[in-house]
Amino acid sequence: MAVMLSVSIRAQEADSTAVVTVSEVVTGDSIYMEAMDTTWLRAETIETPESVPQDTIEEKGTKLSGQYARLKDGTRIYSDTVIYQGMNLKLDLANTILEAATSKGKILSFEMAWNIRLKQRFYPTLEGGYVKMETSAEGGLHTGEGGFFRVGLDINGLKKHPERLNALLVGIRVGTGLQNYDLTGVAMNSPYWNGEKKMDFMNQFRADCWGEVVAGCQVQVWEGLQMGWFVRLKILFTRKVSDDGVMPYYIPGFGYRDETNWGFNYYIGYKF
Amino acid sequence: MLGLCKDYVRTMLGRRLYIVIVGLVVLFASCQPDEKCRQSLDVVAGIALKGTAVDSLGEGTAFTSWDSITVQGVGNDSVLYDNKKAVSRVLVPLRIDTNVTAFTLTWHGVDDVVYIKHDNERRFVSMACGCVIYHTIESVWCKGTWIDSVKLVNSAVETVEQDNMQVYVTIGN
Repeated sequence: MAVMLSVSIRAQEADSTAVVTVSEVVTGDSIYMEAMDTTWLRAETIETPESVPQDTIEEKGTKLSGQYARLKDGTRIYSDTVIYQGMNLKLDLANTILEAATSKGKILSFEMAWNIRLKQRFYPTLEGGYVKMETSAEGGLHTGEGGFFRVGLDINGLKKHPERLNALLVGIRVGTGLQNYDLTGVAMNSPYWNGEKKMDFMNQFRADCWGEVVAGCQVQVWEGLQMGWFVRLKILFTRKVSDDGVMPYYIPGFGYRDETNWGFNYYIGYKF
Repeated sequence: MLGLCKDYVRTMLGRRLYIVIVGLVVLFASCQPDEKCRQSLDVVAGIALKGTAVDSLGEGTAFTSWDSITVQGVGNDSVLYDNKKAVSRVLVPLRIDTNVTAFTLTWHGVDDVVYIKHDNERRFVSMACGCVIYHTIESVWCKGTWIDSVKLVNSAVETVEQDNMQVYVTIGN
């Protein structure tokens, strides 16, 4: 018996919606998806799995995106109805290693990220970390420690796939860094009257804010284990200081203070 | 994992992006902040000359440069201008530890002193550069040996070289 399904067919042409019968789904080669290596149809609605003739079904159940049925000829039908499709918790390795290596151990940073997957397309993200640093320039010394966090949204640029969790992500962030720091040996630049006079600025506190554009990927390696990387372009918003204040040399989560900065993260994580 | 990512990047966006990303990683690893200060930190006040030479008929001719001038800070052993020739403006640094700075100007062997009352404002530039002290001049006056008067024309003293004061001198034949 034929069953009416409303099926959105993702093929090499633009998405189209067609009402097809199960018999066509089973036997109609022309509506099999030819892209990638899958032969699956994304169904907007499956009326009920029980609606599909039982003698055509090899397996049924639920998958990440919703209801699922695999027919005896290998055709897989998924519903794309589930909004929340899991969350990921990740630990950064690259930034930690790069900062420690390039600063000769003077900057120790720790960063984690958490995101959730919505409809295979959107990834709201929260990132945070902690930095302890001691860095110098021209005889001056910056010592401090503080934390940072970023919130943002990534969009998956890959075609939707109901079983694969890989994603090619582009997104934005807004970040805030808070730190206590000391600046010692700051030159006062009055060579004629005061020679090489220097001053210390102790127990300073500052909050900085910046925006980011990020791009990267998130790949499922094995079971729930995931890895991925991001490149970041950071733009500092807080560029002024009060008249008698001093700005830090390094901002947690942003890097060395400048109008713009680059960053790179390599994550290892797990999907829940 | 790297292979999986390569597959997706190559399939979706091509090999070039992968090379760019690898290059960016190398760039990040080698990119360090500039530890040298590369901007001007000289905060100086400009003193310009407005001179009038009066001839025997009483007619005045303007001149705006010293044929030779020596400038030294009062209380400092170093000379800023040592018998410098053809100078129309002298640039002098103000003190950061007091509110009055004085300079001795010697012209044709005769000393005069210019006094500058100012405030001091610290501005942090960067870790590499340190701080600069900007000034706002409140008033100027002179001892009056060969300088008739001093006029304040621009009270802001920053890293831009400009005329902040004008000294008026009259000489007769």
